Amino acid sequence: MRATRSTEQGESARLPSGIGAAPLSFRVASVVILLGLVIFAIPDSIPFYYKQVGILIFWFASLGTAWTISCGYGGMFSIGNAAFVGTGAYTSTLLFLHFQISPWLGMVVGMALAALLAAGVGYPAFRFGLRGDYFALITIAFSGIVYELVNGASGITGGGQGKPIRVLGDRPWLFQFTDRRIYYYIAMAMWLLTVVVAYRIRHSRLGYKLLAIRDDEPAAARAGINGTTVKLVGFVITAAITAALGTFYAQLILFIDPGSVLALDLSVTLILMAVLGGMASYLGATVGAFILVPLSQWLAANTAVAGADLFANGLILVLLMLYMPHGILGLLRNSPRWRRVVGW
Amino acid sequence: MFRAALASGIFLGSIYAMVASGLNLIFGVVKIINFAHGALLALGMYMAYFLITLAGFDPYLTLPVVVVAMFLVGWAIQSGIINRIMDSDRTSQLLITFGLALMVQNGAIMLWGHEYRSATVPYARKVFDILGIRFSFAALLALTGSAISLVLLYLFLHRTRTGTAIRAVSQQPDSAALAGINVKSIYGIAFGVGSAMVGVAAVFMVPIYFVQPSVGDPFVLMAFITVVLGGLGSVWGAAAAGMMLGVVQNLFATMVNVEMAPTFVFLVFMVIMFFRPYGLFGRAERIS
Repeated sequence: MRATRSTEQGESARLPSGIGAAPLSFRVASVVILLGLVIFAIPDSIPFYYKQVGILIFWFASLGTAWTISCGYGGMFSIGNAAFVGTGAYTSTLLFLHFQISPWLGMVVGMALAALLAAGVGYPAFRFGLRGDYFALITIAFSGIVYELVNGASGITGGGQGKPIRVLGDRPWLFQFTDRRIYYYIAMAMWLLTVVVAYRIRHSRLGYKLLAIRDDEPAAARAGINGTTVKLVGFVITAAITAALGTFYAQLILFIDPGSVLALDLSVTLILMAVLGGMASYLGATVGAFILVPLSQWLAANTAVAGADLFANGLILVLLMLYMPHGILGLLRNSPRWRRVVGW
Repeated sequence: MFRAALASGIFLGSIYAMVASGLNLIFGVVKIINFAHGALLALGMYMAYFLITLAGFDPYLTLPVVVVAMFLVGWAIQSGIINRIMDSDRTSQLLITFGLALMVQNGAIMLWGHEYRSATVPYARKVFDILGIRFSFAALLALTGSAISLVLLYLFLHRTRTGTAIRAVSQQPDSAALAGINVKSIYGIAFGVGSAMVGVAAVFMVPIYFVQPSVGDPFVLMAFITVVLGGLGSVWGAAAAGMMLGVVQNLFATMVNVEMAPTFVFLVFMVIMFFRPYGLFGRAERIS
């Protein structure tokens, strides 16, 4: 299947892309790092706190990567992805609490619901040609609606008080584990899956169409690309992945409230991950999360004053935009070989 | 009941109108959505609060100081930071104001904490009865201040050389530059004036609202909506849309459901965006 596709795309596509294009030393190093990350959680002596940071790194990396699919590739600047995180978290939790449906199934329902919501917002927005700043405002308004609905319907959702999930001990079928390592491995698996999906999309027809639309939508339309459909597909994929991550977060913390899974801060933080690493690359958010999550956690834990971690986020964002707007991986974009590795 | 809701809606609308006219100026001239607007509102309120509590000012006499200080803050943000990325991606411009918002808001948390502060004077709480509707003196002052500042803003934009230059830059930056206007310095002035309008709103809000780091959030979200509804570059559009939003939100809150009032406003906004993306009062010219 691979071979037929590369013949279709001509000579240049036959060059290896992704990690395969990197020098051997780099490939060895990435395998070693990945193995190191797998082994990291195994010793029991690793304190709970570090495991939690490890889980959050993969969680934020996945959120940022999902965002990359629609924004980094397709230029749909959504500042409302927290709405999808919240959709996933609340759908699975409410189904579990009210109907005893396993959060694993709830996750799928949440993904479907988020995809539906994304289509409901995305279709009119793309159809009526709202892009750039206006699309950003629409997504903010949309996440504002979801926030207020959840906050207001306290009879069902617990409102601003949040909703705790009963701790049942080790129940794999109900997405609850006493062993924190399992959460770590689930987070890692979800991250790997998200990155692979993002990578495959980047090298698929859909990916090229998204890139064409991002760079010049009128030209892409003249080349016969249906902008509305392509953007919609990208946005829906982002929403579905984001919702699955929302369910994971609910099961990790076993408590959700609008302030943690629906807030604007979350939407901005996940964007920051992608932007710091380089938002046009499928690896960008991962690089960003590995730097930013430990930094924020450290600042939150080790500074006496509240707000230091978010202040640092803001400072990083401003400095980044002034001096390195393409992010860390963006520095590699002028090298033909590394450009293929990071999928710029 | 209906009258009371109408009255508080008009008051809220006058605040929205002030905040939104500043945002509209920045959006219309610099072409950037200023996400730091809410943080600037909080900053202005802290300025007024500390002038009142530490320097013993009367709440309303802080107005000139806060307005000048906010102008300088806005001017500094534009000239020092945003002017340097005017030529880069839209995303960079969008994100940099987000970064500034995080810095200002969390800087306030770091310096002054989350606590709710209030500074008011007894006369501001006096209640007047106008046509059977009860207004507090503070609300009446806010309403008057809003009207006066909007008129002044209109006169500044339409009757002065600088104002004309600002409008020229907002319509055609390149042609304005050819006509000898220093576009970047006009950007600085526009951002400064926009922030000064926030300063006006902040002064009138201090006697009524608690001062805390995230006080600006609900206002700025509404201000975005107001700007989009009012259309770009129109002071009256922003004022009318702000007033309308305030009234609609309050009437909905009183007549239907308090908790769902913001949801309703957001929903109306989305629907209007889909069908009239250039705003209720705007012209279609900005679509490129």
